[in-house]
Amino acid sequence: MEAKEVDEKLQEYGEKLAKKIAGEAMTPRERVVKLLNFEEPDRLPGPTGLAMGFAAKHAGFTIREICSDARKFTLSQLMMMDLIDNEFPQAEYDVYNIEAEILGCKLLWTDTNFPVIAPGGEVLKEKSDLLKLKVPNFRTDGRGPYCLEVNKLLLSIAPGILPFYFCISPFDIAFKIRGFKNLVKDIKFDPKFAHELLEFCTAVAMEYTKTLHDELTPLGGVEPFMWGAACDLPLVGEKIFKEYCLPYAAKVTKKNPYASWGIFRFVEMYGEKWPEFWEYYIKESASPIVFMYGMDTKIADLKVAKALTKKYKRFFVVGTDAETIRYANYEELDARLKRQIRDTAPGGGAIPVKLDTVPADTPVERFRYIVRKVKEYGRFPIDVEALSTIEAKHDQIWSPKGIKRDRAVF
Amino acid sequence: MSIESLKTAIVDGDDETAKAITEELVKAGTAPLDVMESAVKPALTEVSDKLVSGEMFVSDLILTGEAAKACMNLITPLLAKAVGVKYLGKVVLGVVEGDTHDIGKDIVKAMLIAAGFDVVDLETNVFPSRFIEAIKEHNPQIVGASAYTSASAHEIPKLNQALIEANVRDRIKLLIGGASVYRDDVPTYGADDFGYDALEAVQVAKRMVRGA
Repeated sequence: MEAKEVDEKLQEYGEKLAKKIAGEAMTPRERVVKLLNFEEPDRLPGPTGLAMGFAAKHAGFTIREICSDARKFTLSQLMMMDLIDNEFPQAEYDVYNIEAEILGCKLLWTDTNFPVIAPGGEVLKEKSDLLKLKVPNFRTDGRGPYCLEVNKLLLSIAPGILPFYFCISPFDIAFKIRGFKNLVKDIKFDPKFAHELLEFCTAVAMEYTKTLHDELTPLGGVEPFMWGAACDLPLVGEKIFKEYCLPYAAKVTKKNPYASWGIFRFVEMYGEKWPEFWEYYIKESASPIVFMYGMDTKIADLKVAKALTKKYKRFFVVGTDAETIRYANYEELDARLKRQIRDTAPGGGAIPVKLDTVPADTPVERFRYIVRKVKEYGRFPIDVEALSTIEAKHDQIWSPKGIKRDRAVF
Repeated sequence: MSIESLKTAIVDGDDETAKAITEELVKAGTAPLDVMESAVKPALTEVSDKLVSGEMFVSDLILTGEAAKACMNLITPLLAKAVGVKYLGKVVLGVVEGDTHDIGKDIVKAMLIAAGFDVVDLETNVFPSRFIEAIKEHNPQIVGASAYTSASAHEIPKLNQALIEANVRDRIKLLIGGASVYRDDVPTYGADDFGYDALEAVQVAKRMVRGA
């Protein structure tokens, strides 16, 4: 698609979305602001999630196009929102690569997948390389301008649109620029260097969250969220999490108190003791928005999770797993959406459904179904009784230890 | 410098010590098969068990994998030359196109070698054409394909289709695994079987060659 056509379609879809929003009782932004203030809007916003590949496919763009051209990315989001009747964009591009690429990592691009760090593409091969690295200027370096442009476009394309915007945690930056093998080796055999590396990565995260805040929040955006998938407890274990993941993320959130951090699995690891870890993460991370993901609903009572987030006045985002999105039949999907909304939506203070990966080949009707049901079940006041009609056989868990689904360990 | 200390070094993920001990053991005339059976295999089994039970984590497994690799880089050529070594079978292993996560693949490779398989490692980001080349060149009984991300899992059915179109699919058994792969994917992806972890991958591989 040529640039002129992209611009024409941006206008066309932007106007369509603006008209649709104007016909509703509230804008998406108004709904989220209510929820952030622990108030109840008219209904939940449609779910946000990792659907960039889906959006690219249906817009006719390659992954590389949407990850490098802000206007094409934005158009793919607008076309997707129109296709699935949603009003919540998913401005997450290949969020795990932005800082790493700017710092000098080489990416591997393929036709059909999001890029990864190329084999041997880490910038920090020798420890002495750390001395050569500088904290980037995200307004000018690499794809920093692209990220800012995507979010500014989404914020301006239709009144009341509210993208969440993202970067990654210090540990995730270290994971990318050093490579996981070298990073865990450093942690075990040279912790002094590991801490030096994390200090540098913290400075990078501080700079990027500040840039996102300074550039986008005045335009009406929600504050930056640092993703932390590399901090997954099954991946790193409690010791590394408590010594290398959380303290450095907390340095960022304490210096830049608008920034949040999360997105790692922990429920299965802690089993019945998960509330202790949840409360520890809420308190110690100083993160205004907290995220629960990879949960096993038979272990993690979301009402208990919400009570703790409410106690500490944190905004609670509840993830819906990729496994559920991909494999659940409609009864199981319904059961999961009902449970998440029933247990966390009342009283505001939460986004009860945030989708993990929506594969590019997800049937359109399935994605529409999810959006439709979130809006339907998410009408306030929430009909808790109606959402309690969940048949036990459909209320499945999706743990790797697999009552329903047996997934490989690694 | 004993086999027991090598096992400890591998479990501890100390690749430099594992390499040094292996060199000493080889110099002292320790049979490579003994090193595999008494140090490498038990170490990997212990860590895999602890991963499943939650005592150890993927980060521990990575270091163990590196230590096992350091040992096996020295042992594998000697195994090939050792009199009486008979491989159970040959496996071509690779991480699918677009994916560079190799932790699981490296552990599976180590366990397969420890179990007596001849392994051809295609590394990561392996396009279907490379798998096809490897099948024609090495005549394996098994192709092991892994995918770590949800996006790259979709490369497995494409790989299966490519193998069919190249008329090599019925020459091999396709064994799949990786953090984004599920047992239920086997029929839909056109694979033959699935490895939940490295231990199961080895058991399945043994079953596959016995049935071949």
